[in-house]
Amino acid sequence: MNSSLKITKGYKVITDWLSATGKSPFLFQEQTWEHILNERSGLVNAPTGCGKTFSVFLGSLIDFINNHPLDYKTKKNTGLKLLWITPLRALAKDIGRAMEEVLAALGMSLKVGIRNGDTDTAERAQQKKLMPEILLITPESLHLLLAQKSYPEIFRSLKIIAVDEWHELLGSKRGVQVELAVSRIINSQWSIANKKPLVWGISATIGNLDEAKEVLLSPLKEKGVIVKANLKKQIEVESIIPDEIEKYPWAGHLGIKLAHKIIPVIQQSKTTLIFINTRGMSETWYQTLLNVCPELAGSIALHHSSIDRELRTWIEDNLHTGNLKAVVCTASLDLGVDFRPVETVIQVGSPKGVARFLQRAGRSGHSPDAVSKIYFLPTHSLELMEAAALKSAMKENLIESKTPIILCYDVLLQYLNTIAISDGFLPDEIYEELIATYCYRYLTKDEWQDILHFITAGGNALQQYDDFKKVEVEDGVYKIKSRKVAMRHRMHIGTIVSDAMMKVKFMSGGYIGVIEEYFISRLDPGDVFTLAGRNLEFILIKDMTAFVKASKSKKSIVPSWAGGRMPLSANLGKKLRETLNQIAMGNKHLAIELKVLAPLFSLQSNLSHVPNKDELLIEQIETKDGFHLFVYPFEGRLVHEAMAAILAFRISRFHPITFSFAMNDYGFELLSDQPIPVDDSNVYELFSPADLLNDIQRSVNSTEMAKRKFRDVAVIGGLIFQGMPGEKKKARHLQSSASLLFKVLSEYDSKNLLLRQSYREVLDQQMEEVRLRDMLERIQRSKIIITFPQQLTPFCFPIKVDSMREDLSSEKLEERVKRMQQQLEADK
Amino acid sequence: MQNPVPHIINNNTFWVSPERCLFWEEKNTLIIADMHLGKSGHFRKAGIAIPQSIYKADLQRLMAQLYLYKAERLIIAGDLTHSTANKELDLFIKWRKDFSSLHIDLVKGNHDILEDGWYEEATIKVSSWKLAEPPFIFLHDLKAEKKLTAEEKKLYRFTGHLHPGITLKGKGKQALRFPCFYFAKEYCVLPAFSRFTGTFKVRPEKNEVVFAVVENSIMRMP
Repeated sequence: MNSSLKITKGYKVITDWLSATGKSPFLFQEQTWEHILNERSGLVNAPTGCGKTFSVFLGSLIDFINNHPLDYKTKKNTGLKLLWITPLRALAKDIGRAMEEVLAALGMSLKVGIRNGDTDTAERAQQKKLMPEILLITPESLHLLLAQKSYPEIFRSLKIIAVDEWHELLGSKRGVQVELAVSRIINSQWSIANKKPLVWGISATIGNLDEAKEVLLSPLKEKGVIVKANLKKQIEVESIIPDEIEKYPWAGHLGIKLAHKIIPVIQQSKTTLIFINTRGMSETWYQTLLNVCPELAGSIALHHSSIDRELRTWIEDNLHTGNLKAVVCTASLDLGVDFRPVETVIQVGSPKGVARFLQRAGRSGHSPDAVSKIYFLPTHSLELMEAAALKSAMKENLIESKTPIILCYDVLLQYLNTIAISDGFLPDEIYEELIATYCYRYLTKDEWQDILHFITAGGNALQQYDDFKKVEVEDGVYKIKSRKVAMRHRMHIGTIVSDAMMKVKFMSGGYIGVIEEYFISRLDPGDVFTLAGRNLEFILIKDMTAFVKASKSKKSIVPSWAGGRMPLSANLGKKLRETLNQIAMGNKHLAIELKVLAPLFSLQSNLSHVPNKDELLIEQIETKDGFHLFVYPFEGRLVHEAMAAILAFRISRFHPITFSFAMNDYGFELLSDQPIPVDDSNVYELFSPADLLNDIQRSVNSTEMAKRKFRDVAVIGGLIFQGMPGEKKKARHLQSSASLLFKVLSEYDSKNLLLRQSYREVLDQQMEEVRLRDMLERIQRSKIIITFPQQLTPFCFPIKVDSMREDLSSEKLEERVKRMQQQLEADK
Repeated sequence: MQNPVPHIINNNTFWVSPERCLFWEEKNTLIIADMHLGKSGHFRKAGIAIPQSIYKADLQRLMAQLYLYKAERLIIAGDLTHSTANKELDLFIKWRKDFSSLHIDLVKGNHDILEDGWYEEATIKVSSWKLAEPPFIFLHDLKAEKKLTAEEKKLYRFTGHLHPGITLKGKGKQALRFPCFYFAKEYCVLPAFSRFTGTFKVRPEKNEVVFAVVENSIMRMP
């Protein structure tokens, strides 16, 4: 290590304080401090719970002390120095507290402020007058700052932009928001003060760290450095195995039959986190645990994003103090500061990826040399196979990459409106900034003109009969002048699109949480549903609030929340195929999970076949639902969805037929009311990589995929107005559904930017051409085995039961309707 | 475009058109509901870029139907316009002046909130909530039938408001939704004329007739 750091006053102050508390800095922390001292930007790669916050935060303090060596303790009101971007509000609070403790211990007078949706107006006003030196902020609130008049002044003295949990943001539209904000802050500081802040990302390990750094630092036009913590964490995985595998369900995603088996685990650990994949299932699990072990009442809690924030905060506080024995949670507790009392983690159902599994495992065993212990509880028998695959992937450190999003029009439109509200923008200047970002570096001049046209003229219009009003041009400056439009836009800043949510309150007062309007709208008064672990009887809806009372009813409806269903990663898929191969090849040295699955595999093998890694299995089965074709590439749900569409399209090209299709992470199903003409004579051709791109485009056109993407795109891009609090009724004439808009735009403005983006998102993210092509090439090299089982097999069962469905048809619509009617007649 | 389908009620013939309107042969009258004029303009005024071509197309479709049947009269069962006045409505007024021989009747719906002067300028005869033409009566919202007199209740009701749609299900878990004309025993609900409208699912009882608008044709169910 270069000693220039060690001779500085700041280094001495910080290390003296650390050693006074019995600590010494980690190597990666010192390396980061040194880079900051040398005005370099970069990325810190460190797992949670080993001082990653202190790498950049203490670095900025050292810098501050070095700049004010004599009066660093008393110096205050010096303007914003460190901007700390964090994906989670809860994180901001905990990190802010930790920072304040450090400042107090050092006797410094710097202020830490938090700005997010929870920050009250008084504090915002205070911040507007005088920014704290350290500001913790979410990407959304950061964009709201950019919507304030003279925002560049806020960032005049900024030294460091830190982006915490960058691996979580990268690859999402929130990540794009961060890119845009970083780009604007850097360039506005340059234009008013002729200097640039440093940019530091903090990230857990992902497969593409270099790219992660490149994306974040792109607007700086600097390469930057990567600092690795190189701390290896010991992780121990244990599967919870059903006593009788034959009786364990073949499909499903709850796993509550094994609830009794985790009671001893909970009782033996100080504190346990139980990760459940969706909110709905977490409600059921919470109830089940209480039923199985009533003495847990009072010492377990339920934590998910629909639960009242106060209650969540209470739970988090009690996790810190060790007052809770167990918490049933969703991804809501994936991130955040460490809960030291947590000794054990239980993962219920597939974690879908190696990175997520590691992250969750890492939430336990926090002392530096402690082993993280994670239990895997399968929700159906075949999922045990994933445990075996995960173990082997962890051994090889096969961690997923986060692919950055490029050319994201919806976020760009939103951003342009945002900066049009505050000071307005000059198109040429912003264009230069945009092509320096990673996301928009390939934005062409033509696209840029389209975008400007869209925000100023609203696309195609009837000249004198139009009063479109959004961004206006005045002396070359693009501005939003209407206060109403500006106010609406502020309400809509953000890229997390959720269904319309409704508050749930007791008739007698008392707030419980929020729930999707869609779910409530299907209830009749008197129906009982579960939220936040309570059974509630629905009474009425008033002012966008659902009023309920407590119910003693045993039966209740558990809301099925959309989303939360992640696809299997490519890495885990590959591992799964290798795992299956061991069974097909009759390998004797199997992981325990595979050994217990033996009866299931032998049934699969009797009814159909167990494919090895050079085989693709196809099953054709007829049931009363119709004719099924099951295919098992083990590539994850998204790739299967694409492949199902392409296969359906290719079949329907030579034979008029209608399919609905379903998929899970292991395979997909085509279902039709007529026999599906796939056999040895045409199967290789149907799975050919030839003409793939064309077939993707044609089959995408015929499906609903783009429509599904369109909803989020339209909300982010400002085409769907969700109304604002207190204005519900007035806004009614501005309501339209995404599906209606999609139809209207497809028919009357097919070149619409947002429509185009929806189609491209399907291609980029869902149809992943490269991954599809790899799969098809693999299939071409492998042996395709078609079987005709007389009954449903263990492999196909989860697909048939647990499915998301799509339609594809090559028949004329009128023909389809006629035939549906005939079938109905025949059924009568 | 496929030919309209005749449907007989009280000895009168109504031609059910895939352009989401009815032609009443005996009275040489075109019947529509829920035109929602100016809806795209209302969105655009608020900075939401809905293409205006949809509005133009709706007007052209109406014109084509009036020409096709050589209708002398147009009855609108409510919601002619979508919201407050905007420039798109000026185009309607201009269009209206080119069609001055046409008699237009509007039964006001919940969206018809313009000043009286506008209807005068557009030479539209406005009824506040009902228009009786025995043996028929026109309302916007079927719920208003409660206010009818015993005598009026004997009349067959033509209504709008609902934007009815019908879902067809087939084997292999297929499902499709189409706008539809919904003919119950004592009333009919018309589909929304404008294409910039969603649908509300109706569940017909036995003996009720539904005509689904399937792209360019009309399909009778069951």
